[in-house]
Amino acid sequence: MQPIEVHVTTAVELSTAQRSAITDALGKKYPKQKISLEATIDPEVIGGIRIMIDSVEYDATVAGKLERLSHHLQQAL
Amino acid sequence: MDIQVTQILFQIINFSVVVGALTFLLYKPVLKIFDERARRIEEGQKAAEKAIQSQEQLEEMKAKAQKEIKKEQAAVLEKAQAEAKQRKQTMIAEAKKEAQAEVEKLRAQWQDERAQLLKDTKAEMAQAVIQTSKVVLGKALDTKEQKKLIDAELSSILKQL
Repeated sequence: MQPIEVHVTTAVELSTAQRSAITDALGKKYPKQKISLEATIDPEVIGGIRIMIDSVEYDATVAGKLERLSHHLQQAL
Repeated sequence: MDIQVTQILFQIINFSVVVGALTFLLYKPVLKIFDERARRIEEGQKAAEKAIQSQEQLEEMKAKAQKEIKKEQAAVLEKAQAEAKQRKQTMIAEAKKEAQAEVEKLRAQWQDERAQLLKDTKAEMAQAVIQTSKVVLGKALDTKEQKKLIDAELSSILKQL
């Protein structure tokens, strides 16, 4: 069975506890699959965290939120 | 005085011959000439009357034709004036319509340009705000704040899984 690939992007390095929290949560959801975690540091995200699980993205970065805010502002104005 | 019967008879015969000869040779041709002359005069009069009548008919026809021509001229003139008036009104209406359409087009164009300008300005303004926020937030978040923020967001994401 293919392992679940998880890409995490943050502005600073993830702590061990944070890595464990991610792998534990995914391990509970997919108990039969191996979790492959790859962490990237990107100062452009400013803050927060972006997680990509296979093709599903969860973007909770400050840069992402500002981009969405910008989009909403441009639509609203 | 002796009456000579033979002489009388001779004179009677002689006179009768003269009368007969005159009647045959003079009276009848003269009468024929008179009749012919009278006939020619009568024909001339008839021809003259006919000519006069024809002349009158021609005058009448001419007058009638002139009247018809004048009537037709008036009708043509009236029709031309009506058509010209109609054409003038149509041209004025079309010109007004075209002018109105041009005004509407320019107005719509101006409104579009104004809306686009406003939209561009607002977009630029929003972008400037976002860029400023990025710079300010980037400088404001230290390592501790970053960790707290990651913890908070991670907790939220893991709840969605």
